[in-house]
Amino acid sequence: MAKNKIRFQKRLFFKNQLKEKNLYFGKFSDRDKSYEQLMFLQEADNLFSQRKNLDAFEKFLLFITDNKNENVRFKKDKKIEFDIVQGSKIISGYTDGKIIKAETELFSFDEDIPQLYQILLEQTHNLKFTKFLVNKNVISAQISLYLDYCTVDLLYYSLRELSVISDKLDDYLELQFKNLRPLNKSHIIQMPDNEFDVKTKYLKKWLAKSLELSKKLDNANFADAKSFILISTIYRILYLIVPEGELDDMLKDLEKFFFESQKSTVEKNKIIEEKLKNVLEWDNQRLKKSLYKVIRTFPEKMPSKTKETISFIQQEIGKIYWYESNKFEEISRYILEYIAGYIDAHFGNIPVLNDLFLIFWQVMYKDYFNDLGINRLPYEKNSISYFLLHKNFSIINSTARENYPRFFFNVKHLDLKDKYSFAKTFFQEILNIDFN
Amino acid sequence: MNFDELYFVASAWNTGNAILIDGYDFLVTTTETIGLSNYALIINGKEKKIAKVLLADFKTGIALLENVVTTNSLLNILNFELSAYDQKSVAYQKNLFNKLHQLNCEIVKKDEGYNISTFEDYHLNDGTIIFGRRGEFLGLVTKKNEKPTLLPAKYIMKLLEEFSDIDKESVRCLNCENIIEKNQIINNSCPFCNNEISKEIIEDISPKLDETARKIETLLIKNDYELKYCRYGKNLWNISRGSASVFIRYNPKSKFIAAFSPLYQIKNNSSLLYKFLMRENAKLEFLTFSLHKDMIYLDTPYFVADNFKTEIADIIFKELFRLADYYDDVLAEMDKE
Repeated sequence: MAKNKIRFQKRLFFKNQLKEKNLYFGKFSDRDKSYEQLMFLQEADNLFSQRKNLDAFEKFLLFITDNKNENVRFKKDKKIEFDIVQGSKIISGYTDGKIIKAETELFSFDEDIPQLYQILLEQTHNLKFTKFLVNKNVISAQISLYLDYCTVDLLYYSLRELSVISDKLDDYLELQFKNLRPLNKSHIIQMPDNEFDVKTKYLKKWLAKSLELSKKLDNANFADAKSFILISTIYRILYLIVPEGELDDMLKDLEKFFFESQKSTVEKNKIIEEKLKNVLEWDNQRLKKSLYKVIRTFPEKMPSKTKETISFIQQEIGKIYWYESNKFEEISRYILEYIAGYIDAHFGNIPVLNDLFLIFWQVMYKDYFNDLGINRLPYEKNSISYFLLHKNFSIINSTARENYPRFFFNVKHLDLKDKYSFAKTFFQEILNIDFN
Repeated sequence: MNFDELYFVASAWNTGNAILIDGYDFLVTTTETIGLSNYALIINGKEKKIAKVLLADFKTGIALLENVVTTNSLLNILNFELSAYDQKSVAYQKNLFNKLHQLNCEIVKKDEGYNISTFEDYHLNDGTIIFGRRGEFLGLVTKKNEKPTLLPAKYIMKLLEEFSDIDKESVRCLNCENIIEKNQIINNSCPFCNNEISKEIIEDISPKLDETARKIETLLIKNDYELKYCRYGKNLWNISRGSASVFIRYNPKSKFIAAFSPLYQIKNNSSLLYKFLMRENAKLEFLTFSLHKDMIYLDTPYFVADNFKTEIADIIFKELFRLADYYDDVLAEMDKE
C-alpha cells in the first residue's frame, strides 16, 4: 500500500456530477484515499509497533472508512465491534486487542450439500486467511488472527480477502445451488428507475450492435476481429454499466473462458456469441437482479505497477494498424476499447490513470453519459471540445505531478476529428507520459 | 507401474527425485537437487533416511547417493537411446507427499541440449524419470534456471560404469575430468593435474538463509528437531511426530509463512467427511481444514515475515501438531467402508 502523502486533489469538474448522482464506473479502486485517511494508516502502523493493538485497529478502521459511503461502522469501549460493507455482503467482527474475528453469513439451508462443501473446502485451500464453515444450518466465511503478529498490511490483506471472496462467491453459488437461502443482503441499494432504464437500453443496444457486426464477418478469416468485438463489448458493459450478480459473473466467466480455453478462436467466438445473444432475451425482472448499487470497501485487484499497464498498451496497440490500413477502422476502434477495458479489468491502476480512462470513455460514449444525466462532458455542439478536454487534462496534469514530477499528458497531441482518431492518439499520448 | 524405485529427495538446497537402477548400488539424482550438500534426505513414505553424496558430478549434472533404501524394486533399463528428436514421452515423478504423478511431455533438441515441456499445468522436478513411448529410459530431468532439460540416459549409464570401481566419496576435477576420492585430495589440489579443487565441491555447504528462515530454524532447534531431517530445500521444512507431519513454508518474495499438515487422502465417504470438516471449521480457533484433490489438510493462517514472532508461531505450530495427530485417526475411522 502506498503511504505517500496526497494533498487535496482538485476534483475534475465532471466528477462532482458523478458523486451527486451516485454514479460510478469501472472496477472499484481504493487508491484514491484522502490525506487524512493516509495519516490514520501511519498512526495505525505506529500503534501496532507499540503493541497498542486496540487503538491501532481503530485507526485502521478509520483508514478504510469512506465517510460519504458509510462503508464502515464501529463502536469502541473495552473492545471494538465493527461492520464492513463489501458489495452484497456485510462483514461483522470484533477485537479485544488480543485476537480479531470477522465473519460474514452467506447462506442458510435445510439439508447439507456435500458438493457445495467440496467447492468451499477447495476454495479454502487457495486462501491465506479465510475459511468457510457450517454452524447449525448456516454457511459462513470467517477469519481469526492474533493481533500480536499482525501488521497493518496483514490486517488489510486478510480483511480484504474475506470481503472480496464472500462478495464474489455468494452470487455465483446462489445460481449453482438452488436450495440455498441467501443471507445478509438487505443493504443492497435499488437503482433509480431512470438509471435502470438507461443502463438496460444501452446494454441491449451495444450487445445487438456488436453481435450484428460480428455476424457480418467471416468466421475463419476474421476470427480475431470477431474476438476483439465481442470481448471489448464485454469490457464496455463491465466498465460503463457496472453489473452485479448473475450478469457480472457471466461476463467475467466468458472473458476468462476466452483467455484460458484451449478451443480454437472460431469455437470460442461462437460460444460467446450465443451466451451474449441470450442476454438480449432477459426481461427486466431478471436484469434487476444484476443491476443494483453496492458499497465497497476493498478493491478486487491489488495495486499493480504502472509499467505493466504501459507494457500492455505497447504490446496491443500495434494490432490496430492492419485493420486501419485495410479500411476496417471500426474494428480498430473496438481494439482500442478492448485495450482500455482490459486495463480496467486486470490492473489495479493509480488514480491518475483511472481519471484518464474515465475521460476516454466519456468521449467515446457521450450519449450514454448524457442519458444518465451527466452533461459536463468534453463536447461542444456534438464535436469533441479541445478547450474542455484541456481544462480536464490540466487538472489531471497538476494533480499527477505531486507524485510524478514529469507527468504531462499533452492535449495538443490528440486528434479530435472523430472518436477513432481521438482514441488512437489518446493511447499514443499515454505512451509518451513519463511516470518516473 | 507404481515406481517404487523412485524416491523423493530433499537437500538443504532443493528437492527432487532419485532412482535406483538395476545392477548399481547408488541412488541417482541431479546436482541441482543436492546443491553443495554432502548429504541428502531420502523420503520413502513416512520414512526419512540420510544418504551421503558419493559423487556430485558438476560436469554432467548427475549426483550419486549412498543407497540407504532396502527394496527389491529396481529400475530395469532395457534401452536407453534417445532414438528420435522431438519425441513425445512420459514423465514420472513423486511429490513431497510421496504421490506418483505421470505427465505427458515432449522433448525437443536445441543447440544447448534437450528441452522438455509438459502439456499439463504441472511443474517437472529435478530427477523426474523420462520414458519414451516405447518404454525406453530416456533420462532424468534437470532444471537450469527453472527450465527443464533432459539429462540423457547414456551419460547416466556411462557415469555409473565409471564410478562403480571407485564407490567412495569423490569429486570430479573440472580441469582434467578425473574422478578423485576425497581422501586423496591434499591441500585442495587434484592429485592428477595439481589444479585447485574448489572447497565448495568438497565441503558440506548450506545455502545462506535470510533472517526469517533462520528464525524458523532456530524455532525447530529449540523444539529438538535435527535440521538435517527437516530441510526440504531452502524455504520449506518438514517435521514429524507420531503419525503427524507438518510442513512450514516461507516465501521470501511475498514474505508470507504458513504451516500445514496433510492429514488424510479421502477414499470412500467424501460426503460424510465434507460435512464433518465444515462443522469442525466452526469449532477450530485459528486452524482450518481445507481440501485439494481429495487430500485433507489442516492449515494455520499465514504469518508475515516482518512481524514473525517465534513465541506465537510456536504455540500455533504445537496446536497444529496436536490436532493433526488427533484428526488423522478420526478421519481414517470415518472413511471406513
